Amino acid sequence: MDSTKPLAGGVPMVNIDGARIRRIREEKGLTQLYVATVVGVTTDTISRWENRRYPNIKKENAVKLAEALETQVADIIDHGQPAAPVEEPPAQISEAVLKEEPALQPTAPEAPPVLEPDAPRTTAPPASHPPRPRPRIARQPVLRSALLLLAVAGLALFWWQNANDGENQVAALRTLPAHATPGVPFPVVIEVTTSASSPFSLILKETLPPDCMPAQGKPQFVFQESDPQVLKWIGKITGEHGVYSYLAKLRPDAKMASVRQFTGGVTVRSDDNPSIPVSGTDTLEASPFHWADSNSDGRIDDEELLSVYETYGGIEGLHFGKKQIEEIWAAKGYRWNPETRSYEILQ
Amino acid sequence: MTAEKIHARAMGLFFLALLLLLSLPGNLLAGAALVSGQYLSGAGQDIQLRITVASPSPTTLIVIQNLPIGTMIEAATPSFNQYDANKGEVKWLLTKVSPGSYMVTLRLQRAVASGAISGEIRYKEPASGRMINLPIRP
Repeated sequence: MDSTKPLAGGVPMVNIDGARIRRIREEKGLTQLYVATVVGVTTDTISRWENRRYPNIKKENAVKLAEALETQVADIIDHGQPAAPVEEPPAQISEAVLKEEPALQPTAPEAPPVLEPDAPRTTAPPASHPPRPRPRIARQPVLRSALLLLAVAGLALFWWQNANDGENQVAALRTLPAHATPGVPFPVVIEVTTSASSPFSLILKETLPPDCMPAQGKPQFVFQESDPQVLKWIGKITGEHGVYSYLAKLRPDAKMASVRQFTGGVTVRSDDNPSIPVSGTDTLEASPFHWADSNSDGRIDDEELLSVYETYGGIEGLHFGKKQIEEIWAAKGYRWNPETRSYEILQ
Repeated sequence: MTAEKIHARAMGLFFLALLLLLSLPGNLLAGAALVSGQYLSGAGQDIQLRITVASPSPTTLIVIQNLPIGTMIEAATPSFNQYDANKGEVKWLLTKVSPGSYMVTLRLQRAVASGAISGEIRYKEPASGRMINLPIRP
């Protein structure tokens, strides 16, 4: 059955299977925060989708949701039900209303699932469940105390290991030139390192200064917002580190000697921590000196050339102007010509 | 975990680290031997310099060959990137370097005497980012 239902306004809608979404998310160890960040909605919205309060959502959001869950759209669509008459309210309005309505408060990531995958689709209140027989263990205080002690000890051990693992589990470091000439592309590298032994997914977001334009990404980034430019990568770290790089350039009319600020954060899929900030260099000054000329002396010396290659040379496919840098290095120097907006190489 | 156990664990880790440190080869501790150079021919008309790179290798090397001022070069393998005849300085930029051996050769118009030339290899140490200037003598 086709679960797609266009709205009167022409926006395609689909019926989603909240229980299946929750099951897939939990099986993959994804938090609501992670999924919400990938889709671009709040955790409240994810919670509502899973609880089938708004089973009829925009197809565009369903595609993003499937991407976040690392699955196909068909896997999260409710094929057994016709398109529900309830339509998803506009996101901002619904957020505002729901915040004032206790019955629709967001579900915490660890909240119990509403529906089990194979359970009948019922919303019978808990009171209708038959009373469970009291466990025999409750009548044995000694055994209960021993088990409690064991549980506390296990929990303490688990906490200890997690605390140790979490100390430096993920870190992100940005390398950025100190200056760049307006209109000339410069490279930025963000290295994400981890002490985690198993692969995990992450979202890296990088916010560029207002007059800075991205040009190329390795791996390719996803634009999320345009003013200011926010770049987003959804990736998986399989080894000890991952490298995310991009080229950017200041607008040609950018004022010289003005400083720009870069900010970024990493969200790890299995971590409820909202975001780990990207550390390292975060400012860049508009300058007539080439970005590889780190001491701004009008030439690129051996150490500056080696620094460029060690920092950015290993990134295949990132075209940061190696040829021109080598030409300047092999020559006596260079100077910026503001009229032609290019470097003149001094032989 | 008690403070004594933490101390015991810390001491254990300390001695383990010390043991590992002591078991490392001396040249690795000294930060040398990642890159080395040796003249196979350091005089005459043909100059041959062999460069050996160990792991973890730097990605890029700059090789400098100092010649007597005014020396004319007939051929170079690989082609050099810079030659300042006034200083007698030839420079190569070797990129995408991996562990192994590399040969740099020059054929000069006139023979040079032994001891009249010298070389240098410059690179960034991958682990520390430190600039290394390695002088080479025939």
